[in-house]
Order: sequence, then C-alpha cells, then structure tokens
Amino acid sequence: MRASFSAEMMKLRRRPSLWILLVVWFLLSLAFGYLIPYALYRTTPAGMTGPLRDQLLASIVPGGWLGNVVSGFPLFGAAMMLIVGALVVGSEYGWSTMGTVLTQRPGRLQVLGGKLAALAVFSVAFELVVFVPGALASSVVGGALDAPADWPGAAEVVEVFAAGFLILFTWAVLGALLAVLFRGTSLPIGLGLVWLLVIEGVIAGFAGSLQALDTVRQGLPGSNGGSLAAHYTLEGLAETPGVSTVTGPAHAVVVLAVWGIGAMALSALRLRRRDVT
Amino acid sequence: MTDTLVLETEHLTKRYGPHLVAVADLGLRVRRGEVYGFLGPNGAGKTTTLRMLLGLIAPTSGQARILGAAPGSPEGLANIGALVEGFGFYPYLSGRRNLQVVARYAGVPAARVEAVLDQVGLAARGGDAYKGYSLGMKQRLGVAAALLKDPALLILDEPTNGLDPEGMAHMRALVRQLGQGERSVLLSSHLLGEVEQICDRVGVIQKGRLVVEGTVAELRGQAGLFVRAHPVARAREILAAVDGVGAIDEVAGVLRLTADPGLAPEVNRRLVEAGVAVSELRPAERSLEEVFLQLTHDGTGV
Repeated sequence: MRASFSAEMMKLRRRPSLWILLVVWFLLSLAFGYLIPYALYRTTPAGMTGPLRDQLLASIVPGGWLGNVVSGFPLFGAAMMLIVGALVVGSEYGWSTMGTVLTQRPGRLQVLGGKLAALAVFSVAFELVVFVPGALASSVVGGALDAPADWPGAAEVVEVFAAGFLILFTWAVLGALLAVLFRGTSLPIGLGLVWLLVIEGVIAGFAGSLQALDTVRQGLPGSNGGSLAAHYTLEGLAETPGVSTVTGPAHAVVVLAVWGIGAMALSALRLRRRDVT
Repeated sequence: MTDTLVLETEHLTKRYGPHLVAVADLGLRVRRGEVYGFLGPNGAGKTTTLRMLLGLIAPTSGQARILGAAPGSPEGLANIGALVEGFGFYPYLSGRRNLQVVARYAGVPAARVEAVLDQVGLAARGGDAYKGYSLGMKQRLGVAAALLKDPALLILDEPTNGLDPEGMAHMRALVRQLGQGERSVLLSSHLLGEVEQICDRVGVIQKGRLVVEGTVAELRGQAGLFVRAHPVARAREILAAVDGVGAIDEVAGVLRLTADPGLAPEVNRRLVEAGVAVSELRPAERSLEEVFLQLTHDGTGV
C-alpha cells in the first residue's frame, strides 16, 4: 500500500482543485469564525443583548478557539471533504485513469487503501489550515481586547483535533464511497451535498413532531457530526449551522466511526468485484 | 521465439446479460519472444479480451494465465506493460509527472521515466502539461507508461490509433524493436498492414470467437502462381516439367501452381518458348487483408 499512498500523495499535492478547496475553506473559516463575529462584536448591532455579545467575544478569544474552529466542521467542513473524497476517487473514472492505476503492480484494495490514507492526510491538512490560523486570530483578538489568555490544555487540543478529524474523514470516505458507486464525480458530489445540506435538515425539521424520525436522526452522520462539534462549542452559540446537540459525544463518535468504517468496507467490496471498463 | 507460453486462455468467455456474448470460448496462446497480432473488426471483442487478461474485467467463465499468474494479480502485473484503449492520464500533470506517478504505482525507479520518454521520442516535451498533448503524443506517452516496468509481456491495443502516417511508421518501428529478444508483444489492431509488417503470428477474432490462428504465411495460404495461358492443356503439360512446380490446379481456365512466386520468370520463359500465349502471370499469395475480409465477412475458414 506504500506505493499507492506515495503515488496518491504525489497527485494530491499537485492538484489545483484541492488547493482551491483548501484556500476557500481557510478563508471561510477565518471570515465566519473571526472577522464577522469580531465586526459584530465591535459594532454591537441593534437587538443584540449583553450576554450574546459576551458569548461572541468568548468565541473569538483563546478560551473559545477550539469550539469556534470545530463548529465549522459539521456543515462547511463536511461538505468540503465530501467533495474532496468524491474528487480523489471519482476523477479516476472520469479521466480513465482507474484502468491505468489498476494495471500497475498494486492490487485493487491496495490502491483504495492508498487513496483512503491520502484522504486521511488531507483531512489533517484541512484541520491544520483552520486550527493554526484560528489560534493566531484568537491570540490577536484576545490581545487587542485584553481578554485573558486562557488557552486550552494540550489534551483538550488533541481531543478536539481528533473529533474534528473524525467528522472530516467520515465525510471524505462517504464521498469516496459515492464515487465508487457512481463511477464519477458529479453525481456523487450532487447527491452527497443534497443529503448533507437538505435531507438531514428536513429530517431534523420533522424530528420534533415524529418520534421515528428523531430515532433516525440519531443515526445520521450529519446530526452526529453536529452533536460532536456542539460538545466543544460554547453554549449559546448553537445557532452555528449544522451544530446542535442531538446525541452525546460518545454516541456521536461511535456513529461516525460506524459510518466511516462502513463506507470504507463498502467501497472496498464494490471496487474489488466491479469491472473497470 | 520459444515454445514457452507467456499467455494462455482456455474457454475464456464474457457475457453481458443473457443475450450479449462479447467473448466466447476463447483459446489464445502467446509464446515468449513473439509479436502476436490480435486482429478483428471493431466490436469483435478484442478490447474486452485484453481487459480480462489484465484483470480489469472478470470473465463469466473460462481461465487465463499470464506469465504464470492469474489476470490482475500483482505477480503477473509486475511484468506486464499495457496500453488498452488509449491510456488514462492526469490532465493537470505534465507527461513526465504522469509517468512518475505511474512509476510509483508500479514500484519502478523514477530513473526509468527518462529512459522511456527518450525511447518514445517525448523527452523534449515531457515537461509540458498532458492536457496540451496532441493525440499522437498521448499515444506515445501511453506506450512509454507501458514500458516503464521493462515488461516481459507488452499488451498494446490499437497503438497507432489517431497517429499521422509518420507517427504510425514510428510506432510500427518501435513495436518491431520492442518485440525483439525475449519480450512478447500482444498487439491488438484492425490495421492489417500494421499486423502483416510486425507480427510473427496472428489470431483473428470475430463476434467474440477466435476464427483462425497461425503465422501470417499460414493464413495467406501456400505460396503459388496464377497462370492464364492458351492453350491451357499444353501449358499444364509444360509446367508439370518445370523444377520447383508442385501441384497444378485449374479453376475456370486459370492454372494455380504450388510454387515459389520467384519462379515466375522461369515459368513465363518456358511457356513462351513452347509457343503458349501467356496473358496473366501473378503470385497466388493472398494478402492478409483478403484473408481477413473473407474470415470476418462470410465467416469461412482459410
């Protein structure tokens, strides 16, 4: 699998569309995580009460760094990684490179393993481009506003980073699974985004009125990603899209892991048996 | 060329649904060191066969062994280079970088990249983006990728597709060169001139079935001469006494001699000296195209 991983990384590093996604993700995170909240805080818009203003401040200073950053993962980050997963696998069909790759030495499962490993590395990179600038932004804002520099401990940083990784990587492998199933990029991306942005939202909308849907919701990747992020996000800022407490963090971790492992297993099963034409 | 088989299939069959049989009961044998021409019209099942041999498509039934391994197994693929229906490359990478990616998958040293780029005449353009390559350059890059592993068996599917006459000549020369020595080449094509010039043996596939297999000479049939002369009985009598002339058959007033076509001047001289009028004298050898058309159009054997 090392050869496949190495080849995959060579492709990823030079793929313009992935760099564009990374830059867009970085800009979105900075804009919605820091610039807009900071502007809101400074301008104190009409209707914004005192406690809410305090919570806004708390999210953009060092003490709120981790929650602020990870709150962007369940919706924006998930959507981005779904696209990345679909691109990394689906493009091989679109460019007819799947045949090229599979007629070299590695077997099909090694090729898939290399792709998933590369997606894992990319997920880490995806986290770093928001966690590191987030920390810098928190530091700058905290300094400018004379906020206390109560940075989270190393263990907490690792925990939130791991939780973020689980959310992002699960959606990346879901994108990869859809690409294997539909042998392309457009349909997997379209269907995946519809699921993430529309279907899960509709289910959440009706879950309050229908018990069965509420049960279903507790097993969905979007809801559980949102619940996991909510666990680290400051209370009162739960209006962040995609962040809401539907389940507990342990439940969310298990459900996301099941979705991720299930998607990897299904991808392997499908790729191993399917004709490549 | 030796008798050792590098590729062997038995009853290889691929069906799509109950009615479409893409490849039927195929028995193919390629020997070490030979250039084997896999001929057939478009849609005959050539590419499906090659994809099965590479493990990209699972056969419905039958077996295949390539270099002693099952199709698609890492052991077999380690010594097979393939160009099947063009070659997929990454458009955002240069030709050289594409080969480096393929080299990593194949586990071959990056130094091979320069060697194969040079071998196909792309060294100077290796740094250009693949998406800017002409069709001919893409084909050559595909062959370069197939050569990366310095394979014992090279599988080339229509390698001259899309090439201009100069490119085709270059590709033919390259394939001929690659087929020298111990390496075997399985060349799929519908271009008969190409196969006739390059291949040691030929298999013709039609509607998924191998209809004939043999050397080009065997397919063309025994060498001979056609003679139209008058009076035909006298001509037959004279020719029977010529050294080197074997059987003499007569069809519609034309004599077909089993003889080396190089004997034509001697045949002509003897007939003219005997006062026989010769109105036609030509080699009886069929071109591969005639054989192919006969096989693929009316389905009869050679």
